[in-house]
Amino acid sequence: MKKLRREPLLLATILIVAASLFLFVVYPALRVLLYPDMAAYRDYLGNSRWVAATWNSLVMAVLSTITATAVGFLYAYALVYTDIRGKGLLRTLAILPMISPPFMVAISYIFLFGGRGLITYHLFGQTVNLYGWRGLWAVQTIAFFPYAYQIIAGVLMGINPSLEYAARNLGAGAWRVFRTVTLPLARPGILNAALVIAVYVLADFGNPILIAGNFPLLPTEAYLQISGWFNLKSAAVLSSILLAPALGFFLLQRRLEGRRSYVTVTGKGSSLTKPPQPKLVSAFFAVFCGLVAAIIVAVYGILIAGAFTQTWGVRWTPTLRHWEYVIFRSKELFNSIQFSLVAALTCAVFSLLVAYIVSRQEFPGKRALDFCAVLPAAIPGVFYGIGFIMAFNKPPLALTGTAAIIVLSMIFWNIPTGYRAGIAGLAQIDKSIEEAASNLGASSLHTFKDILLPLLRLPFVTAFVTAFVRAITTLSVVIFLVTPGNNLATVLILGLIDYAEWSRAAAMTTALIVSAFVVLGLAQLATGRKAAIFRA
Amino acid sequence: MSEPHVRLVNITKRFGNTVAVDNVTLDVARGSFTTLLGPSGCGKTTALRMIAGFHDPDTGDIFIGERRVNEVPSHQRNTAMVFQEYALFPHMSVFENVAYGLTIRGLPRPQVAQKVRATLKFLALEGLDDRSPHQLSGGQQQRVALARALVMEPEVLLLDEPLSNLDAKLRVSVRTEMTQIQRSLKLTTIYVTHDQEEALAMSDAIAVMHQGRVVRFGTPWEVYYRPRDRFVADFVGLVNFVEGRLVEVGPQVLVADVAGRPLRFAPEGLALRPGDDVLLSIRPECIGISPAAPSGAANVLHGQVAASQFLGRLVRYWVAVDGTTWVVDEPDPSTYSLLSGEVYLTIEPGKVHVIAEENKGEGGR
Repeated sequence: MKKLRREPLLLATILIVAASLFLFVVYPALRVLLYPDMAAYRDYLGNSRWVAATWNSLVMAVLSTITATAVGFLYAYALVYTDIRGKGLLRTLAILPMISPPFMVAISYIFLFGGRGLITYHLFGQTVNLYGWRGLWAVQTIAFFPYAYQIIAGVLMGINPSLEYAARNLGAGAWRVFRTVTLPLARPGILNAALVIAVYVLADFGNPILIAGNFPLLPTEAYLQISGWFNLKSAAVLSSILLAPALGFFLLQRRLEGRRSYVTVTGKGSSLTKPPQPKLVSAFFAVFCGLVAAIIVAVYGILIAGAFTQTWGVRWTPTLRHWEYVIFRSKELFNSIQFSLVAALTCAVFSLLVAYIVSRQEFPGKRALDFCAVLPAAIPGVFYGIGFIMAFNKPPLALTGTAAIIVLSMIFWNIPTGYRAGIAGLAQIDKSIEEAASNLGASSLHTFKDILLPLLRLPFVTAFVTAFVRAITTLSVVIFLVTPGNNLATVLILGLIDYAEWSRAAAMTTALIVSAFVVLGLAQLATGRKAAIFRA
Repeated sequence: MSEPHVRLVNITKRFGNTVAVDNVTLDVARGSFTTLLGPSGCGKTTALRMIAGFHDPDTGDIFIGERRVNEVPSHQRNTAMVFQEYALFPHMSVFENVAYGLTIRGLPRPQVAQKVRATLKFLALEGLDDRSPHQLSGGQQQRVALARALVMEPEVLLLDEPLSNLDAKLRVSVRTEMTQIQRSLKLTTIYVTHDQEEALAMSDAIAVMHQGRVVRFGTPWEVYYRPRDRFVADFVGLVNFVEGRLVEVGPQVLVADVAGRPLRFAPEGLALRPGDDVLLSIRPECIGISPAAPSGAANVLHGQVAASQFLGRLVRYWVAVDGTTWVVDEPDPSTYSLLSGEVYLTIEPGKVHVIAEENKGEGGR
C-alpha cells in the first residue's frame, strides 16, 4: 500500500485495469444475470423444450467430455511413452482442431454423412438423417480431444521416469507400472483436462447449430430466442442457466489446479527417457493414433476438397470461384483478420499487464482482480455475447453496431490465456531482476516496460497467437455483435450454410484456418520455435 | 571511525508471525566496510533489503546521512546493490546492463558511455561490452554486477552474499579485489554473508546477527577473540568452551576451578569475585600441543589424542582430557609427524577469554 502511494502512476494503472475488467467482464455478466425477472424463470420451468435443452446440454457435456478425454489420454500416452513413428505429424494434426473455427468438424461431417453426403448418399445411397446427438457427440469428440491431449501430455512428460524405473526395479510389470505409478500420477491432470473440456462442450455453439438438428441445447436455444424472436429475457434466462454448470466445472478445475500436483514432488526434471513399452502396446497405439490421424486428415481433406468443388453432392467439377468470392468479393475475411489482429495485440499487452500487477504488486482486492482475469474462461461465448448487447446498448456506452464492441469482446474474452501465460512466465523471472532495476532507479512501470516485457516475449507471443486464433475462429461471442457493415467470417459462414452454400462455407472456413496457421507459423518463426503455443 | 553514514534505529520487521529483524540498532561508519554476519534466517538479508528499500520496516527509522529514508521508494535511494544471483538483465548486453541505471537517471548518452567504459575498465571487463550475461563466466558476471552498481556512484553500496556463487578459489581472489576497490573508493559498503571467514577477512566492522538481533558489533578481531556470548564464539570460528568457578582473584591472574583443576587466565578488566561462575572460551590455535611435558607453562593439561585431521597448513587434534574433548590446532605440522597417544596441552592465560558470566548459556547451541 505504501508503495502505491509513492508511485501514483502505478496506482492509476491498477485502477484503470481493475475498472476495465469490471466494465467488460463483470458488468456484462451481471447484466445478463439480473436482466430476467422471476416470471421469466417461471416461463423457463414451464417450457418443456428448454428443460430438455438443459438436460441435453448436461448429458452432452458428460458424454463428449468422457470420450474426448479418453481419446486425448490415449493420444498423449502414445506420443509420450511409445516409440511409434511420425510423432511430429501426429502433434501437428492434433493442433488443427484447436486453430479451426468451432463448426469446422461439423461441416466436414455434413459433407460425409449429410443429406447429400459422400458416404451416406453416394456410397450407400442413403438419405438417413444423421443430425442429432450421436453426430454431435462424434464431432465434439474430434473437436475437443486435442485440448485433453495437450494437458495430459504435459502431465505425462512431467512424470519423472525414474519413478517408473523404480517400480520396474521392484518387480512390477509394464501393466502394473501403468496402473500403480503412471496412472495415479497422471490422474490430477486427466481430471483437469476433463473439466476444461466440459466447459468447452457446454459452451459449444458452432457444432450444435449445424449438427444437433432438432436436438435442443442451451446455447442454441438462447441464440434462437434472440435471432428468431428477439426475446432477450428468455435468452438471458437460458444462458444464465448454462453459466451455472460451466462456472461450477471451472471453479472445480481451479481448485484442483491450485493443489500441488504430485508430478513436481521428485524435484528436478529428469533426462531419462521413458521406460520401453511392450511391443503389443506400441502396436496398439500405432493403430489407434493412425486412426485418429486418418479421421483428422479426412475431416480437413474433405473441407478443402469442398472448397474447390462446384456444388458438393451435385456437381463435382473443380472450381476456384468460391475462393474468388472469399478473397475478393467478401469483406468478412478481411474484417475478421483485422479485428482479430487488433484485439489479439491489445489483449496480449493488457493480459500481461494484469499478470504483472497481480503477481508482483500488493494491493487490496488483488484476489478479486485475479478472479476477473480468469473468469472469461468460464463464461460461455453465447452468454458473453448477450452480455455485451445488454451492457453496451445505451449511452454513455452505446457501442452496439460498432467495430469497437466486437474488438472489445474479443480482447476481454481472451484474457485468461494470456493472463495465465503471463503469470507462468513471471514465475520464472527471479524477483531480484526487478529489484535490481528498482535499485538502479527504475520505477515499477519502467521496470515492467524495460525488464519484464522483453523477458516475457514468449508468453507475449503465446498470448497474442492464442488470442488471435480464438478471436478469428469465434462465432458464439460475436454473433450478436456484428452488423452488415462489419460482419465477420464465422458469422458469414453460418449464413452461407443457411443458404446451403456449402462450398463457399468450406472455402471461407479453410481461409480462416490458413490465416490462423500463418499467424501461428510467423510466431513460431519469430521466437525460433520456442513459444509453447498449442504445444504440450 | 568517522561519523555514522547509515543508521538503523530500533528497526523491527515481521513477516506474518515471524520476526525477521528484531529491534536492531546499528551505525555504519562512513567509508567503512561493514558486514552483517549470521546463519541463514538471522535477518541479515532482510536488514540489507530494508536499507535498499525493498521492505518497509514495521517500526524504527533508517537514516542515510542525515536523511530519514523510510518513505523513500527503492528506486530513489541510490543504494546500489549487488545481488546474490547477480540479477543481470538477461536480455541486455554487458554494456546495456551497466548503462541501465545511468540512462534512467537521464544522463546524456556520451556521458553514459564514458562512465560505463571507465567502470568496465576499472573492473577489467573491457572487450566484453557486447556479450550477453549468459556468455560470461561466473566471475565475470559477478564483476558486471559490481560494475552496474559502482557506475551509479552510489551513496551506499549493498552486497548480498555476492561471492556465494563462485567456486572456492575464485571467492578468495575476488574478495581481495573487492576489498581493495572498496578501500580505494572509500565507499560505505554493507556486506551480507554467512561465511565468517569472508567477514573476518574483508570487514572493518562486523555485526553478528542471530534470531533477528545484532548480538555483537565490533572489529573482526573483537568479534573473533572477544565474543560476548556462546553463540558468537561458536558461530565465528571454532572454539573450546570451559565452564568453571572462580577460586582466586589476583591483579594479574584469575584462577578458575574447572572440573577440579585450576585454569589461570588474565582478568581482561572484568570485575569478578571468587565464587562467580564463568564461561571461558579458548580458540584451538591458542593451545599448544606437545608429546612431552613442557616446563614453566601456566596451564598444562594432560590427555589422549582421540582423533586428528591433517588439513595441510595445520593439524587439528581432538584431545580427551578428563572426559571432555579439546580441539587443538597445531599450526606448523611440518616439524614432526602426527601426534598420537598421550600429549600435553599448554594454554597461556592471556589467550583465555571470559565470556561475561551473566550471558553464560544464553543463546547456546
